[in-house]
Amino acid sequence: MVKGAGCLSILFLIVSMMPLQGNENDLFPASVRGWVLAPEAEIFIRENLYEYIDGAAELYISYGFEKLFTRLYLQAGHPEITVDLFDMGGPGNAFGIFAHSQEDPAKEIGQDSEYLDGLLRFWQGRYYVSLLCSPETPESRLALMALGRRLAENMPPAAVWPRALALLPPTGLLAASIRFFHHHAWQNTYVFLSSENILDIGPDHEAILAKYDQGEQRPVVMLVLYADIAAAERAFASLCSKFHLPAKEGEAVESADKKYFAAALEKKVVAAVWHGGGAEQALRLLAVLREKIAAFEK
Amino acid sequence: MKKKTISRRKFIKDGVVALAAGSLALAWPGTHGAQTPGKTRVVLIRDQDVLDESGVVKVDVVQKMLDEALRTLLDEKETTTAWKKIIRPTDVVGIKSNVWRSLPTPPQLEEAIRRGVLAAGVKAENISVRDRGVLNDPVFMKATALVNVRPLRTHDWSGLGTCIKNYIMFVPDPPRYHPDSCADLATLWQLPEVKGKTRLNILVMLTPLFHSVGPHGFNPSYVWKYNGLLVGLDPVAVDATGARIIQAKRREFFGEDRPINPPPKHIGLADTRHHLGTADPNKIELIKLGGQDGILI
Repeated sequence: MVKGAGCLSILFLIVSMMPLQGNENDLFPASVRGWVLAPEAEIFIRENLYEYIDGAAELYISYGFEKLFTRLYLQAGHPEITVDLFDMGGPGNAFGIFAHSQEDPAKEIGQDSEYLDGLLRFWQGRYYVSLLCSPETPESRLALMALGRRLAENMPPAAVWPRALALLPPTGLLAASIRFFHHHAWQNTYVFLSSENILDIGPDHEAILAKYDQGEQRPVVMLVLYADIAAAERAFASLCSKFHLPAKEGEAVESADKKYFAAALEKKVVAAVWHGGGAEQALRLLAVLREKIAAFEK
Repeated sequence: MKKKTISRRKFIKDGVVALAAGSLALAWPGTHGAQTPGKTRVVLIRDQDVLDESGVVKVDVVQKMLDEALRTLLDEKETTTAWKKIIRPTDVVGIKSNVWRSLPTPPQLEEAIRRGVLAAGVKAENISVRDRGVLNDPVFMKATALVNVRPLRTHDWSGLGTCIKNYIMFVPDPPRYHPDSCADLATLWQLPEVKGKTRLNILVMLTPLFHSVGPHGFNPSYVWKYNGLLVGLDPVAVDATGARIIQAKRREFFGEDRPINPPPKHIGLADTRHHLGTADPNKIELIKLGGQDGILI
């Protein structure tokens, strides 16, 4: 055990001391608006990400995290800028981790970006980037935006958004509410589904949550795309059992929080709706989802 | 069109914590010991003057808050008598704090606690205030009593950083407790360094963080001046009460139900699975002191 631990420690040491390889090294501009890139670089992998961001590491791992490159930018008399460049292994994961906490995104930098009080986040291709400068100053805000743009210009070009997002009907969709994930920890983001992984959400399946604007109501939609129909059928049966959905289609169930819940299995997709406006509205939205799924599969 | 109603009991039938969106109902079967018959007491004290204009904690105000909360918790008229009720002069006391850089336990509160412990007759050399490094701290390693204190904040994996979670530094390998969104953090309280030693829990609600964003979690847009302390003997009851406040703040801020994400299941499971305390609000006697404006609970 001690020997194994020693080998692991050596691995971590080697990785953390590695010069940034290839493209990642070239991504960081030497300076921006008076802030200069510090020479030290840190690299973290799954096994030691915890040392950098404690328990938050599990969040990134749940979205397929592969590697983190961390650099600092310094300017005398100003707070430092911390740049965390996450290699998320693919654009779906990069979008997913960005969307995980989006509230008011813009298309200003990268494929989506968001700025809030000293923190700039954006994603592009397989990378998710966080630029932090606190406390915020007028100069630091300009520097963050300029640095973000330069990084995005240096990064590989934009990739397509996850194809599954096309399943979301556009009418009334609150785009900032979209969540895209592969881990059941995030299934309760809007409505409590379960403490357990009752839908078998995992790396091979894509899960989507979104809210819609329907006047006074903000229904929640969930879609889970499975690799095979057997997995989809098992998950749907589990969902029906949990929420006491009758086997017969076209029925909605009222839950303790007065929302109406309806769900369906369409091809390899489990679709679910929570609607505070009534059973009919829940089923209507579910029908629209099913039409999109049927057309998508074709 | 047929409608069916699922009863609340059925909805949470297996007793697993359900942090239902829109209402903080940590529902669970089972009971645990109460300070007063049938109920566990938690004191929430608030003072709008606890922070100065720069946001720095005022020493005298936070001392006054802690003293009054403790007296109320223990039904005592005198502060020193209250401290002596939970701390003996022969105790070796570890004050387990929290140094998370963006929202640490205020040093002014740490000092207020230390003063209370000294007033109970404990020798200065038998008191230590630590977070990381408790396993190397000689006072903590021979401690007979612990005071558990930390600010409440959202956490990307456990849902909330709580009193229950604050003992994670008593293990050399904290990630071992991460599975299932840190569901079994309550088992930390069975560690020999900890078991049976906690005399007081203080959840700092001066400027709680109610939403996390970015890899470092903290953003000033998502803290607010609640100006409070939650104090209790039962860490589960204290945390459950704090969670309700955070849930209410999220609803207020976002203008709609936004459940704590992920749900802090470790709080309810600390009750139902590990019997560390009670998370059931019906079994918590919440005493509110100070300002009621914006209390959210």
